[in-house]
Amino acid sequence: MKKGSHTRAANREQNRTFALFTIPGFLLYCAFFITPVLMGIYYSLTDWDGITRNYNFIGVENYGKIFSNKQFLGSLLFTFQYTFFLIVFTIVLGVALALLLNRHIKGLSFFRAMYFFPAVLSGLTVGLIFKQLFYHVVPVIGQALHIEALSQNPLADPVLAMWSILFVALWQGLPIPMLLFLAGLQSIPTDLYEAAALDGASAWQRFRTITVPFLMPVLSVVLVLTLKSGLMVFDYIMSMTEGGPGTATQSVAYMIYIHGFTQNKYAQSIAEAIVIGIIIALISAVQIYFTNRKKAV
Amino acid sequence: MTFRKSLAIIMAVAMVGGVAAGCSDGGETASTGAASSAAASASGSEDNADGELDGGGVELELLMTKPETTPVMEEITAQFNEEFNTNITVSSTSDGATVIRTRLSANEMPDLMNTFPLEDFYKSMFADGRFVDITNQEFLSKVSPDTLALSEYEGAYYAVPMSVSTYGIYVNNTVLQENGIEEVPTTWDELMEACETLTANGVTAFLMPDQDVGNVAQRFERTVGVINNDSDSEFQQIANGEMAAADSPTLNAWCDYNDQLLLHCNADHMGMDYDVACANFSNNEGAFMLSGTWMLSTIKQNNPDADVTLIAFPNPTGGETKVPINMDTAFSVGETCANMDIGLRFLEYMTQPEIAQKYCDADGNVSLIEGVEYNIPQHQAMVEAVDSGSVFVTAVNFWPTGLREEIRASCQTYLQDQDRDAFLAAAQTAIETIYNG
Amino acid sequence: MVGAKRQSNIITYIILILGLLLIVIPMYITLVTAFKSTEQSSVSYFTLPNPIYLDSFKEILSSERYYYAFGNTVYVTAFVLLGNLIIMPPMSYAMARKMPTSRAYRYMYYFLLLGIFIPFQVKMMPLVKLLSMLDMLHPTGMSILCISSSTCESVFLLVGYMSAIPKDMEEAAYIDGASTFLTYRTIVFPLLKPMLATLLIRQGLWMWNDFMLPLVTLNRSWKYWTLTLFQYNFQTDYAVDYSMTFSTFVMSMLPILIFYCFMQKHIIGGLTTGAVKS
Repeated sequence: MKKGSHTRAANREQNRTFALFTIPGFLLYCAFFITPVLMGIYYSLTDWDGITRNYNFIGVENYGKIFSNKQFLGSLLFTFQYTFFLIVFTIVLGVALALLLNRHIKGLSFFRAMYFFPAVLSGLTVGLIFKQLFYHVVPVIGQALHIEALSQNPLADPVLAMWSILFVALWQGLPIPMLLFLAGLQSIPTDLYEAAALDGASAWQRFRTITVPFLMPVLSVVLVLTLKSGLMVFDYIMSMTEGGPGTATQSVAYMIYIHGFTQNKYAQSIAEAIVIGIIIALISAVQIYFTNRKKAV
Repeated sequence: MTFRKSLAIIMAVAMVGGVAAGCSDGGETASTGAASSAAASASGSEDNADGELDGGGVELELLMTKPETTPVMEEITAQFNEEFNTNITVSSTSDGATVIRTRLSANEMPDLMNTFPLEDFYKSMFADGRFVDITNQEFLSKVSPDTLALSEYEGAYYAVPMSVSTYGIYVNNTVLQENGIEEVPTTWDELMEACETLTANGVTAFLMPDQDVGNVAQRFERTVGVINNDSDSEFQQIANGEMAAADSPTLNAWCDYNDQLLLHCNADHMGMDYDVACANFSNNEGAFMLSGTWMLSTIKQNNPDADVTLIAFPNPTGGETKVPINMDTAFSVGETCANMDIGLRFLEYMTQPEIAQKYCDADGNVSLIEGVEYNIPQHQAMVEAVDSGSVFVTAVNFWPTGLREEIRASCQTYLQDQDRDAFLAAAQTAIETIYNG
Repeated sequence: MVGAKRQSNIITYIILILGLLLIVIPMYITLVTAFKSTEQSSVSYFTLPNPIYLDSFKEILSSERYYYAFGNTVYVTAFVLLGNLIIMPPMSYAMARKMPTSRAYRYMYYFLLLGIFIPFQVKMMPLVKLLSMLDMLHPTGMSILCISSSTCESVFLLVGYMSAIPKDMEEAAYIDGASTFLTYRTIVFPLLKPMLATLLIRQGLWMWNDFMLPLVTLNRSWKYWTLTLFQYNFQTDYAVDYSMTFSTFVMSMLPILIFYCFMQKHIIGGLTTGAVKS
């Protein structure tokens, strides 16, 4: 009896504290995040060009225009392709680098420090530096090695341009996933590996049965973050190709920017942004659902 | 520190920040209120003699979207502040369009700013009453009248134009001389002849930065204008279905001349951006480059000894050659200017010959203010064109907003593959999309 | 066995050094460009500066604006990190523990999650309007805004991480009569450190390098500028002043690099100790 009342009081205390924990963040989020989003959604239902004081409410007309627009579909295709490769390479290279940097070798902390370094720079800066490198360096290497495709600036080639941007995105974007994977690797008790080695498990078997399960929680975090950065790619495009050559590297975020800020189609560009937000949310929901299920298994 | 305490501190900090900001806001609104009443009497005050006007230390913001001119504007405003007891500060940004849009949506327009009165973006702000009507101001008479008339919007003036940029071909005289070309070409045929000589000598004739899609768009827009000063009407016909883009003489002429130039340009043109092209041009690695008056300062930065001149882009169809001009710097007073008298006086101040001269020397574009000497030998041909009136206002000011951005990707693709049918089909779609909403 | 180990170590070194080259070359370019005049860079892009050109650095260091920008950037970054550190972990703790039983918290979580997927463009202009109405177009206002916008990602990551942490220790503390707050502070918070370190690093780098948000909220006076705005003022529509641009790159990277060098052990250590145990 006494214990029961104690628990109830404790529960009350806990509920109160939890509410106090949650409220400030939630209020800030509503005030400075949800409010402007709602305002944005309202603008997407108007014909506002982003300049004039007056505009008309036109309902869902802007949304209707989106899917009949070839540019939109082309941008979507490029963005999906780019994001897919970004995720694959981030995971494969991130895990590989983490494994290398988890080995007991001399100069380990030096390597760890240097490999983190690219993350420190801003995306626009990195874009500007690499744009110059692609022009000045790649053709020299390509010509020396007699590789036809690389004997010119890869940003000038509709196919290679995407891979060049991907390269830069990985150059800068790998360090943080790499560190996360490294953290995951360090959480694995070494005796597990020793036991498996005694059982005669091969390196691959050890990787698959011990390493991978321990990396799963990190993996789902990396997935969502990479998915988001891939689908929203803008800085690199802006500073390296401006969507070119032609429209070969026009990402959706860049297209929204072009429509909203150079063509005075502000309301339409917001409608596009909202549709893209919904698409990303759907993909993420599916992905979170699957990684959660895997974790449960 | 307990959590609650730290939370309280955060909240307190946030609130103090908010309150402090709130106070300054109160002050600003009050002064704005005072200003609008001053505005009513402002129009009659331009006759004030120098020194009669006292700004009483009023704070005004001058927004410059041309950051390269910030230093000279700071010098000029400092002088002005001293003379009229004001406190005008210069804020500058390299991304004017974004900043102005957000300022508009927030109703935070600056008191004074530089505008581009021919651009659609600024015209819609004029239409919206964002700037003060200066039609009756006396200082407009100091602007060369032909060009002043261009900046009119619906029968009124909202900006005092200071300078125009012109566009043409930069010629590297050193390269021409090294290859025995004594005369700077003036017609298209002479230009092609020079190109052939240069190509035969293994020298790059034209530097084309085709990786830079913004530059491609600009080249398209300016040269299409040279081919046909009234390209807008032709595009209108295409949009109406009266003409197919495939039969458009202007678009075909654009393709024709590019086909020719591509035979004489740098091999890596698709990979070259504007900065590199400009550096190479300055260092005598190419004889010609299409660009405008703004490029001279960059050329000098890259190679102070470069011997260059800007000539007109000869009409490749053999028709009359006119030089495309665009309004460059103009100044406007915002409708919410904190002190209209001072705002208008500042515009007047900018049109005084010695101040305009100072600005012109720093800016490098052709000044429109009477009495200003244009001392840039590299641009003499352009001054002559402006003086003789053989100029036209560049097409982007007539085209509907967004056409240049809509069509630029196809232009870039054409320079890469020279697939004329594909280009003309894409142009057809782009023109229809933009003209027909 | 030993031979095989040495062999694989050699391969490790080769791969790591190749990667290192990829990392170092762009850095080299940045540095040499910063120490050359635009004229020198336009003649030879790769060579070491000869003579070393220091005018750009002198100009930056003698410019009041650099110090303002530096101060603002430090202020904004510190403010946002502190705000995150104080608000996000307890919020995530409450959500992670209440979600299984309380529908209200579950919905709140989904509501927060939605925010991750909203592109910045949707809210950019309304945001400025809102901040202007509240008179928050200054560094403090922007920082409060950034804390609010980081809620979704921070909570998502922390809640995800927390659900993997076993509850035994907390429950033991409760049975001993510890208050919720005490339990949070002494038990939960330390367990969150690795993920919190990741979060704060991401957030800190984002604040330090962000361009768009400062551009639209802090353009009223150069006294509000952050380092990125200071940098991009040397790029106009028509030309990039390479010498100045790259010198400002170096000058805005330098503080964060020094910070990183000193904190390196803690940063990487923070990430890799006490990592996920499930």
